[in-house]
Amino acid sequence: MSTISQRRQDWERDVLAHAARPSRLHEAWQQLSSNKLALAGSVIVLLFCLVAAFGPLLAPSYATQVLEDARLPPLSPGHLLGTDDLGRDMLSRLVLGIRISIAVGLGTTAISLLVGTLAGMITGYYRGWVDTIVNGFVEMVWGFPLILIAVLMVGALGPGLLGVVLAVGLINWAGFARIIRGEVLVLREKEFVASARALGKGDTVIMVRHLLPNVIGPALVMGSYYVAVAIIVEAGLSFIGMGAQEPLPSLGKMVAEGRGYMLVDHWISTIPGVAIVLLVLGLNVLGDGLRDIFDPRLRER
Amino acid sequence: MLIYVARRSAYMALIVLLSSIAIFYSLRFAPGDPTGVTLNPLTAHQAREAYRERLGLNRPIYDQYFTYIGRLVRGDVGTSLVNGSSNLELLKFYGRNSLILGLTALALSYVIAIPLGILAAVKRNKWPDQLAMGGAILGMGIPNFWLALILVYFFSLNLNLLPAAGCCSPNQLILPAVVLAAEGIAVTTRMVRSSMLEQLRQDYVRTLRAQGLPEWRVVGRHVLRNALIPVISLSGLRLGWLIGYALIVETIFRWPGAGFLLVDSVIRRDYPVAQFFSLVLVFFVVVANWLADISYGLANPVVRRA
Amino acid sequence: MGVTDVDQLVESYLAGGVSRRGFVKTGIALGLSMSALGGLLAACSNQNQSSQNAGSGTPKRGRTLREGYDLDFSRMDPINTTWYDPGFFALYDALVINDPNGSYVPQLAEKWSFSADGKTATFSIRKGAQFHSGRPLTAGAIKEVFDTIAQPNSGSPLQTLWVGPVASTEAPDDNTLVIHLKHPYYDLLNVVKTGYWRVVNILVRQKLGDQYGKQVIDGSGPFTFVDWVPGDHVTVKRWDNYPGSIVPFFQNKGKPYLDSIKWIAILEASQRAIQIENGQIDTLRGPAFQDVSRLMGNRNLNVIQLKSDWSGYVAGLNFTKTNLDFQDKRVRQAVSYAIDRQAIVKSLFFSYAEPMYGPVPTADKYYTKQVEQYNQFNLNKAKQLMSDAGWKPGADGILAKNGVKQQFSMVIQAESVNQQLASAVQAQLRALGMDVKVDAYDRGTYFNKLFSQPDAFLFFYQWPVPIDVVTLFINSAALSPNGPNWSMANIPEVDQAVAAWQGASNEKELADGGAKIQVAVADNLPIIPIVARQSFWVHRKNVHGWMPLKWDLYPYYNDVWLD
Repeated sequence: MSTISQRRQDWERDVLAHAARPSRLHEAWQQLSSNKLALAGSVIVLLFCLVAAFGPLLAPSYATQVLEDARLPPLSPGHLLGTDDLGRDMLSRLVLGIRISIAVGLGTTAISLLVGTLAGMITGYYRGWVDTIVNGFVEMVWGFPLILIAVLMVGALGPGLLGVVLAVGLINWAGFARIIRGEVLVLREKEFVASARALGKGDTVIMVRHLLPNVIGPALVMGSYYVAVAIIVEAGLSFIGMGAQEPLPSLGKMVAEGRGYMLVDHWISTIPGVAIVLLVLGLNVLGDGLRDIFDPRLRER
Repeated sequence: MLIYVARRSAYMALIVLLSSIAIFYSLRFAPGDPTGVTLNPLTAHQAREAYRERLGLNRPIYDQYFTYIGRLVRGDVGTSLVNGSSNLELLKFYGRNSLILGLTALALSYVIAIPLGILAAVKRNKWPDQLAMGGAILGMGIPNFWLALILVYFFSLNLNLLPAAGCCSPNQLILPAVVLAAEGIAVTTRMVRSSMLEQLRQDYVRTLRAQGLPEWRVVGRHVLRNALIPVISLSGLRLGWLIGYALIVETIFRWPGAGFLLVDSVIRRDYPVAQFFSLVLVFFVVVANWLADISYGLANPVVRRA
Repeated sequence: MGVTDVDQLVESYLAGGVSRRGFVKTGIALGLSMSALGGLLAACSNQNQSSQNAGSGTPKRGRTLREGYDLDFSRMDPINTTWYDPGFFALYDALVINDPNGSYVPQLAEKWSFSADGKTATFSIRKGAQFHSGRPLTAGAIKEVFDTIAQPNSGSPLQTLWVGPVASTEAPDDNTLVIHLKHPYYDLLNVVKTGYWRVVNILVRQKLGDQYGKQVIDGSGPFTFVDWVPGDHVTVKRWDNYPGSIVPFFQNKGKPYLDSIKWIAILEASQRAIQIENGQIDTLRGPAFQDVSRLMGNRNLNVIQLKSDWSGYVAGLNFTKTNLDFQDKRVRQAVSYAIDRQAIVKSLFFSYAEPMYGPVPTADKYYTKQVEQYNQFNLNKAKQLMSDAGWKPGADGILAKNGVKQQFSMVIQAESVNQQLASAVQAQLRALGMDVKVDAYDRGTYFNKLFSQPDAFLFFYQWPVPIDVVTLFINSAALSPNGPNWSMANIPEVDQAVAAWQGASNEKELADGGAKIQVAVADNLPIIPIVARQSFWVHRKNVHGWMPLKWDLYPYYNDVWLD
């Protein structure tokens, strides 16, 4: 790949990183506020995770339909958040939906992270032909229509979350690859890599022992953003009917199911909609905070 | 420079070619074929088989692919199995609509995000900054279909100010463009803010200030120009992203754009259209990436020399 | 109290034969409650207004009717289309059509008769009919259409319904069409009145092959084709050389008043009501059920409620899955008894639907009340039937027999109502002890999966004469993949009933055959009927002459004009 695009990526990264670095004048206060960010984000995300983990104990009836009780508003007796169009308890479904959405987000990000980090490290370290080929692949994937992969996955694996997770994961890794590559390109020029090579350490050892720990930071930062992206993309796919199958809810599926009722019984869509917003908010804020924490350590300037 | 352009073009062509193979095979591996949608599902077996024969679907996939490439090379980009329009006509109509929607959303996001980002950077950590950043994070989180429904509820049904759907008058463009722009506004605001803060830390700003230049001059003339470079250089990618993810907005607002057509043609297994528009998407993204690289190189002479 | 009694009362009220007071008196005598009467009167006045609309004021020429439609469009080729759209009623003519009372009336055929032995049908074709291209529409042209349909490769979904009974078609002169039948087939008229039998210019169709119906259309209806943008709209415009119509109940026998018609596909259910409320469209078919009451209360709109839109949601179990005992009638009946249709109608369809105990809706001419003894909701009976068949609940509540659990997949289309319905059925079957996995597929994959031996499926049919399409699902001659009998049902009683229907030589035999089929299906359940929904049509008050018919899927546009 050309030096120009490599340099451009470097600069992008710098811009984002420098923006959050505490200045000399307000260092103490900046430290506090950036920690606050990470703190706030973590709290929100943690809350959601707790709900996801323990919620089903408190509200287990996500699939129980009582058709006669369809579309009850929130604060109805027995249904704190009301019922949906099939008479199922919204609170239970919300809890399970959060669980599933988080799982989808984590699942796809795990795949993207794994594949992307691997690709990024290999291309950034070896450069040359490997770099050109894999980068070409990255560009192909970047532009490949998600719907096509989704349909393929659903066709091969059957409808359900697995297909969606794979489809989104297989498209999103490209973003990780680019960023990780950028990081590695900088790192490989550093002294500790040169000295490791001088000591005769193999490439793999260098990559695993020295590069990987430094690369994890930016990877995690990106990861938190991508979990949010994955949740929204899955919601979008649920919109066209691909995704969690009955009776499982995901937050996106719940919003999609309730959209016909927005003018009459809006809580069916609004409640999961607000949940998505808060969850994604928390993840983004967490990502900001992580970036603040991780990047200054890498910037040895 | 010329060698660079030539090499890059060859590289891009290779990517598009490989993508076309991946797309072609993906469509044929996915279960179902055009007979499921373009023919009545109750049609007799023989008629379905006859149709498949006419389309050449029973030949080996590589054979179909070579036929496809052969036609492509001769300029025949294919026609829709659903309604017979040539892909070029479809591109003109749906592509144009997507471009209009995408460009409007892009323009909207810049018009709102750039001033907001500047404000946030200049008033750093004071309440305008916090508000802008809060709003930005919110904008990144709201699912666009939910936002669309809310806006339609308020502006269309309750206030009857704007039409709820359809194409192609300016009135009908407003709501979909706003929904599409929402995420872009958030991201761009953050980016402008970061970029501005980065610039404000540079030495040359201190120099300019020491020279006695008024603050607005410093910020407005010098800092701004440098800060906006990365933002603008990514606009190609942003536009590509917007067009690709506009599908849901296009569906809800019945704005016939390329995103909608792509998904619809894949679901219908309208092979010629799905293949063509997938390729167009890949091509678009590859070119957008390249343009971003070039504009960056042009804007920063330092890099060009490297 | 019979449904038909009330129907007759409503008809006479609408026709002016019964006063409002008389209506109320008779209604009470028939056992209707005051609220039901009120509802009926409201619905009647809606209908009254639209028929009044046809006559009030002087029709104005010009303008474009913007009609909202709840599906996407398909190819405008009657022989090969996926389903037929309202456009068909503007672009093409049929031999005969139904009038508002359900009788057959002329459209292309002036008169017709069956021979004494029922094996020859003779149609006298009107003079002066022609295609948009100018070619005269003679009996010969109609013969070409029917002959094409008879070819196995033509792609017509009704090829099997035709080729079975019809021996040959002749056109001895330009105005006489003779159909020779292998056996009496009174159902012939039901078949030729549907959109799939509308007359297209075969010469043009042959020339264009697969491309016909996409950009070029040659029919004989009052409008000509302008354009089609898939997923968005279809436009037609007035045909200036229209020779006029001989349909008795059309008030306007000449060229249509409208300059053009634009049908707009509004696939988002919530958007449909919004668009007609905002005046972005003039007429609408199929608003979302939850919006209906709001639309009814809107002063600018008229809502027409028809008892049926000739559709039904049915489920099917695959007979070849013998490990699940689906070939055992008791198991199928158990599944049917476990479904609480009334609850589904109330909650999912806002009561704008009716339970289907037999395969056709109650509004159908041939509906027989005998089916109501079957398939009534009874969970205990369902459990008993499963127990009798040897299935006992395990520790997890799932029925099991010889180590095999009642776990299977149901293939459905990824569309919102289908998904809601599947969800409801899934939960109700869970109560019985069956673990049903719902697999929703997009359109392209759905039909492919239907033909690939699914365990179970959910299907939505829409057909103006439901019994005809139902025969395709239950006939052992149409086993998948050669036909749409995805249940792989092979029940002699059902096949005999189908033969009786297809061999009917007069109206009475047809009705008897229809009753036989319904009872055979209700009892043996080659398919499991669930619900049939009502049909809602909405128009703004400035639209006149627009009358959605009870007996077919769409209105005719000859009489429509805009204020």
